[in-house]
Amino acid sequence: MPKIPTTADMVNQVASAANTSRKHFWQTVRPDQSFSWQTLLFLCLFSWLMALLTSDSSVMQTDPSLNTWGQLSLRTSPAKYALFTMGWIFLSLAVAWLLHGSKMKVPLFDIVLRPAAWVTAAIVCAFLFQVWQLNNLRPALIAWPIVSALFYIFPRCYSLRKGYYVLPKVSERQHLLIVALASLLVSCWLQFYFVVQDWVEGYRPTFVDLVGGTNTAITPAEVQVANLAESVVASQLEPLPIPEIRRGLQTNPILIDEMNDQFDQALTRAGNSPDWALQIEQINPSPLSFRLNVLPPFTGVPDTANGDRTQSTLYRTCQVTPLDNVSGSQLAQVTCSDATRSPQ
Amino acid sequence: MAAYLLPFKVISVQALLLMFVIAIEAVVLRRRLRYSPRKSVEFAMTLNLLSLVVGWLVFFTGLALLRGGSAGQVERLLIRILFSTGRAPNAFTWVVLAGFGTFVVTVLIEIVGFVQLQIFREEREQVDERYKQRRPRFAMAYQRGKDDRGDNEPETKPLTTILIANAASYSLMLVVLFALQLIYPLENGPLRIIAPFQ
Repeated sequence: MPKIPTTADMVNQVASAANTSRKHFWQTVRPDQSFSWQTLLFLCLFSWLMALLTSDSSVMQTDPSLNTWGQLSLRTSPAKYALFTMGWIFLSLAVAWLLHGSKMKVPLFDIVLRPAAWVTAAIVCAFLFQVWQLNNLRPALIAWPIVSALFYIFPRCYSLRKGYYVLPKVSERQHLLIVALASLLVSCWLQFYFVVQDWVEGYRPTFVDLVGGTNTAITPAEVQVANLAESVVASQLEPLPIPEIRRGLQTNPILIDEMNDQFDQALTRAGNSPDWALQIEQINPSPLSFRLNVLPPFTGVPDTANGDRTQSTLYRTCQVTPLDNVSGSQLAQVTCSDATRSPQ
Repeated sequence: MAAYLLPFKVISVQALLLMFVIAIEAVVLRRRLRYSPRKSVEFAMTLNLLSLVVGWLVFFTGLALLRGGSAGQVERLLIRILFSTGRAPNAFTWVVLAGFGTFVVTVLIEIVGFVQLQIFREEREQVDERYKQRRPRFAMAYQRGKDDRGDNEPETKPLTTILIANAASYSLMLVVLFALQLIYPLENGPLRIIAPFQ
């Protein structure tokens, strides 16, 4: 009959496990000799602690929001910046030392990975490009494979013992060349990913038209959205004189942004998703007419093979004419056709 | 709402084709130039990686240069070719034209790369030494067979070999792409990339 563990037993077990793991932890972390990676790790932690303790009161007084990790720049006090930088340098050296020569075997495949260069390069890139500012994530990711290739190649071309550069043997050189080219290729693939992201942002109608059915009938809900769009555009444009509308449609992005804001508000008021967007393309300068594109919410390319359906862009052709057809009148009237799906 | 597209199909198809191409070009190099298996694979790998990287860099540079002018049209066409669900009427013409263009450019890059790689591997001197007395007009285009086969061996021509290797690899690529089109229906073929990542 198995013995049912009592609560006291379980507490004892947890305590002993914690004890051994603590022992193990200290065995790992405490350096056996002063010249070791643990020393560098402690140096890193020490510099960061000092960086935290270093006051940069002058900066704090001018703008407290500057004293955050996200805004770390040359505007923080030089001492703090130097300590922080040194911390990163110590950290990358410690990790490089720790992982030096380590190998990871991928199960099932006979592949051996050497993570040292990749991990060290990730840390170095994170610091160099300051990835905590999210704008810099993109160049950091693109540079990562190249930097790790450099970290892989450099130690093989530099003799630490002799203290100068050595040309590796021919076979080694060939290997390093392939490593460099392969990591360049990976970097190109990452760059391509970001190019595709730019396309998704910049060519939403193209993407939506690619995947949406152009021949499906327009639903009443869509007609309602298109009517909202038209009324918003008309209410924005009609108080303006026609030459100003013409100039505004050609050059003034603020006008379009304002219309989009109004459109979002109108959509929320009518209980629709505010992710629809407006776009205006001028067709004819005189008599002034434009195409009003109403873009549905885009959430990625659906799998049409599995029967996903998306709504596609709605188009309306609108004309701007002088009110009452009086030539002297400067006020405009916007009249639009019914919504269609086809671009023409 | 942000939408993410992972160009996973483009990249995986490219990786797959790269492996096929390296294999077949290594075979051609080995048979025609009588390289050792290791050396032929190394040459095929380096040259193909080189041409691929140069191709990507040209692509990105072209996009960056176009950004000022007619970027919109080109990028829309690219989107239609890469992401279309089989409803892009002119896409096939463009793919074929691009195929011819890349073939010529690839052969040129690999020819230059081949000579540079020989210099890099310090094998160029052997070729130069052999022709010290009787230097042909296009020295880099000629190379004798391996020493142990004797001097009577007919001259092999590395540059012709590269042309043949590329012809073979491009034919294989075409076959693989067609096979992929057959496996997946046209709606979802290899030229239509992407899994939504939401």
